[in-house]
Amino acid sequence: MTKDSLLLFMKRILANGTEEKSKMVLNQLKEILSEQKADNAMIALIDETLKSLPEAKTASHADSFSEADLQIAFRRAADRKRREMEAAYYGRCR
Amino acid sequence: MANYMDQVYAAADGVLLSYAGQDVSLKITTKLGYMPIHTIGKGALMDSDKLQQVIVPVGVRRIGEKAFFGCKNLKKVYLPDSVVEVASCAFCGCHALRELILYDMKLTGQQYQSLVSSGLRVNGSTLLLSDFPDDKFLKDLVASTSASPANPLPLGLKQLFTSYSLEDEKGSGSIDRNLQVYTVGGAEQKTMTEREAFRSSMSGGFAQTDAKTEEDNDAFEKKDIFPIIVRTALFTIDDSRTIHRDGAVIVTAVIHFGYHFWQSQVPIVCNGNQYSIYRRHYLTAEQNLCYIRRDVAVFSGDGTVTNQEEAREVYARYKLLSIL
Repeated sequence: MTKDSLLLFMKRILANGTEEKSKMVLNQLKEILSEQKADNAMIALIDETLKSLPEAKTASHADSFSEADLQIAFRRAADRKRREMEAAYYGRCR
Repeated sequence: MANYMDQVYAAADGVLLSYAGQDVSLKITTKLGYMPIHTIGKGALMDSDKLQQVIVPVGVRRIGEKAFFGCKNLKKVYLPDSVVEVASCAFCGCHALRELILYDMKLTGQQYQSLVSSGLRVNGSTLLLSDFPDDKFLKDLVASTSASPANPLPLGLKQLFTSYSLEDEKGSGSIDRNLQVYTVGGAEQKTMTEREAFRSSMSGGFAQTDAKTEEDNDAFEKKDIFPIIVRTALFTIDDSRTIHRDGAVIVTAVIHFGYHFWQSQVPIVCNGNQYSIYRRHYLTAEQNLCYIRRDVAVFSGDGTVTNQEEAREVYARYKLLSIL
């Protein structure tokens, strides 16, 4: 499996189901790639997508779905997590 | 690594990764492209709401975790002889699932274990959901009551009642009458009083948390808190899900108890004109599940009482509650 075909798979998986389903299927795909001793970069891409599922799902609905689009989604997810962390620690419920 | 993708299926290396179709009846294809399918992957058919029937093709060896999770309308699944492993929770959330039909399958011990651990029970060639009473319990139950293996329930039966009152203050002493308790597994019979049953069902709940002092405990013991306890429950039966097993009839019923209600599967046994229903009961002191027998009043479809006149009043009360 090449990186392009992986991205095609991921787009289909992310666009065609709930977050829970996408998570299960991506995990399965990761297992297959690990068993096949695929490129570590591809496994890392799935890992990172699993950590940023809501943003990756949003990105998958767009016409283009490249690695660059995914990287933007990862940054958005990191921003969201940071905001959530700040709200938890320094929010008005302090 | 071989991979395949079209509008409906995605598969890689012989593993069906994802299904995104809208079929009501689905026969999963043996091959996708030139790639034979040997595994239904994790969550592959998850949340396929429209599916009612799935035929898993010969050659599939494994069904992954949560493969059919949340297929709410799935009623029937055909599994081939080739399946050797069903992962945990493969059929969780399939509330309409009634049958898993194993075609040409002889279960080995390992297959049986993997099916049971995934929340299924095997009955002949049909697998049934495992929220059923223990097999041995049922067999002993039928042996002890010499129940007829034929359907003991009148046609059109929709509702059953349990009704009993504990009126200790009036001197009936019913709160101290003995109940027979059937322990799951060994069907070991023992007795406990209504008071003990009531306390054990309440322990961990308000009866113990409210009883903060020794005095409160004493008051409870003296029935000052519950001087007269009338416990009634209405069972509304879903006819289509009645199952006959080992001579007993297991009904799926919505149980109304006061203002609370929940759904459960309860065995019911007929011995002559006497109907007995076995309610699950958790003995918190012993941390195990057992069954307590309750004699029931039976209503036929038109609402007439067949064996307990006084239950009519209770029925009227529940009707009133349901209208309110």
